[in-house]
Amino acid sequence: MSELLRVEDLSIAFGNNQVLKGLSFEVNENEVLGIIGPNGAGKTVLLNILTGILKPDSGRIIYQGEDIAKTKIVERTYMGIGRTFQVPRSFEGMSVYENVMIGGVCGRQMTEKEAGAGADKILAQINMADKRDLLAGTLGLLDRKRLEIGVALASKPRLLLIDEAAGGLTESEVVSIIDIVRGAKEQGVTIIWIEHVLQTMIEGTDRTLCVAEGRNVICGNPRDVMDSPEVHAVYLGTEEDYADEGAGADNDIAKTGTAQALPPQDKTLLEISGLNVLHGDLQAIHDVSMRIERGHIVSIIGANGAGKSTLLNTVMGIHNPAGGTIVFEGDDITGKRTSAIAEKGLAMTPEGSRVFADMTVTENLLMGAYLPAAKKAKTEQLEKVFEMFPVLKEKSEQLASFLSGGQRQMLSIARAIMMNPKVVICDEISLGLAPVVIQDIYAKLKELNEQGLTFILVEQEIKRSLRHSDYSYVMVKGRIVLEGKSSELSRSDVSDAYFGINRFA
Amino acid sequence: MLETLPQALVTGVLLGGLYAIIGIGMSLIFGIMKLTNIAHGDIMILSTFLTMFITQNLTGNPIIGLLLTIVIMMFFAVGIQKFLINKVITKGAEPALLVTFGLSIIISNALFLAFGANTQTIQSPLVSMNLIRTENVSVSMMYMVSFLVAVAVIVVLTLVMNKTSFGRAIRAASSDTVMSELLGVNTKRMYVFAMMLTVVTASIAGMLVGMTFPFYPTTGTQYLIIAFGVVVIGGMGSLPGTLVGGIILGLAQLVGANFIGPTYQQLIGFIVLLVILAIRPQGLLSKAVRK
Repeated sequence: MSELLRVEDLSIAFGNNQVLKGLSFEVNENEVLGIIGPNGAGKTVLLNILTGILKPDSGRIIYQGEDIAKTKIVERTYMGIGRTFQVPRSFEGMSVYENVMIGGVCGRQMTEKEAGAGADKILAQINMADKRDLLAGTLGLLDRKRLEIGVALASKPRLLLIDEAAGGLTESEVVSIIDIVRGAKEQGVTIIWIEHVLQTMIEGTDRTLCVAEGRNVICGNPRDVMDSPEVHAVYLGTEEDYADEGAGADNDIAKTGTAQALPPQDKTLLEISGLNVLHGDLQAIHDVSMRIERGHIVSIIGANGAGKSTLLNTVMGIHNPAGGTIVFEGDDITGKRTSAIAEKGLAMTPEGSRVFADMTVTENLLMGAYLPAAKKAKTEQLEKVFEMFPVLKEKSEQLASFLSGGQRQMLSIARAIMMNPKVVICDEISLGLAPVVIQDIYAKLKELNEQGLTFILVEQEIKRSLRHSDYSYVMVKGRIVLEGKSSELSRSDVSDAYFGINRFA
Repeated sequence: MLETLPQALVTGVLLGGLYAIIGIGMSLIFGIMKLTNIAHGDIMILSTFLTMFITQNLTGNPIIGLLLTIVIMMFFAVGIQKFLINKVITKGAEPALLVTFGLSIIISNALFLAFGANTQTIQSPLVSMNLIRTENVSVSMMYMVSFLVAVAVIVVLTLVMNKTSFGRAIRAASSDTVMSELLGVNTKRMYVFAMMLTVVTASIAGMLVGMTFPFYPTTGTQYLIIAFGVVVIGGMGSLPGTLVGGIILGLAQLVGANFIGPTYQQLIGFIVLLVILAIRPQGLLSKAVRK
């Protein structure tokens, strides 16, 4: 096998953000190379560099023996590099057939006749011959993804770059995408397939490369890569990462608070039954049911794109569910206005803290005490949160835009506490924070929980979630695949569910 | 020309006050809903007609006329916000823009139907009074009152926005709708309140305009352009910015007219507007450019 593409020591920075840090790999002729990596690993940036949309700061891209780092987008297309996009970009007002024709005519400067003959072959290859004359805009997600690959194939690429073809599809639909990719390989196309849905890699690729923080982590046989401790560490964190987070405080669920003494029906604070949520034609949440008990810390664990945020946003009325019910303290709150749900005693610290940057710290906190019930107690509450977060008192008259990431997160939590809520939903509060800050924030949560406040935590880090919660749910692709008392779930149970290797193969 | 310059400067600044109060409502709506309200001028002229009608037929006192107008206009604000703009505001900027465009046409034609095409005025003793009169400069009482009212309205609104829970909630809703909802702020209701505030300032502006200049059903568009200029110069959504914007526009018009000729008054105003747009597109007092 000869080498088709070699990437050497590729680096690119956006301002202070070094996205790629010396990434190197090679692809052999007629090989399918899978590239996986958590969000922010630099996967899409890499594709944009390979297609010429971005110019790397340093490094070489050797394609068929030539350095193409300086060539333009269109030249690379003529050299036979084709790509698909994460979000399908087919021309909605044209038919499926016309879309494929465009790929041939524009991508490879074929005549209409040549392209037309090729187009029918490609439609058969992507199993869309019966949809030849439908408008692309009327297609469902699977068909749009297939068409996207078809359009790229029509330009007869030597090297096809696929950006997330399986996202949002069901398992059987994913299988049909894998078939199309394997089919293209049989015709001699070399493929680089970037994917979030890890399960596709085992069936669909010859070799898998894992990228994290702009560097290669490991490359090799897909199954070995999936099972490797390096990849697990990238997605789930390592044991050492948590060594400093209060080892003695593990899972002391044997709480003696009042919550445990209540009859079972009163113990339930929030109950979600059979919830389904759609984003356009993409089903983000499939039949999710959960019961949150009063006084508990419940964690929801899942990879990026598993639907955790969507689930929480639906509870808070930011998204409307397509089916199912959400009951809070016996009241059906399904599909209610967000402000009305907040009034019932549900507070949320959304991902990225979302403090009001042009207001002072105090003003932000007072926004938490906006509702009449909270407004009455605002002076005492303000004292309470200042006592709990002394740094906020220090900076009380500063604009929130001057706070550090950790301080913003604290402000976001404090603002939620100002609402005097019954439950606080925290979406990724540890994202991007230093371990010592995370430790501090979790200690505060624990303190508040001991005072009787219920928490729902969303985390990507399994170990941290299990350590700090009473009960855990694991989500994969919009479904709950595992649940149980956090003390009884092991990290390997969760990581099996998370990587879903046994479920898929 | 130089001997008439002091008069141009004084009138320019004072006229700027009137321009500012015309622009405040537009600035509020833009700041809070990110909506360019094409009907702003027509809403103001509608209130001018109402004040005139009530004063002439019911009270005889324009201040009582204004108060009654404000009450009626508040109901009008609730109506258009709740049943028209709120229905489309979540679907992006364009549908709401079109709604206000339609509203503009409906209002000016309804006024045409009700009052005819005649030029109208609101009688006021202030118009013929002068506060100061020297050889070179005279200060019209009407202009001075307009200016002071504008400053007062801006000060009161700034205090409301910065010091009250209601003002904070409006600011919160304008900076992050979803987060505000999560804290219990019903943002659509905030939009209704914002529209009510807007028609209050528009009614005050409308009365002052009606006393200072003649008006007719289609004058609204003319004042929309002034409001637009004020808000763009000062910075969309900035209250002190409207005063600065108004004064710059007023000065540009009158000082320009003083040197080049009154025919070019409007043109010079808009040349200044274009220059400022080119140098500082977010407006003079607006917060940093959006990311």
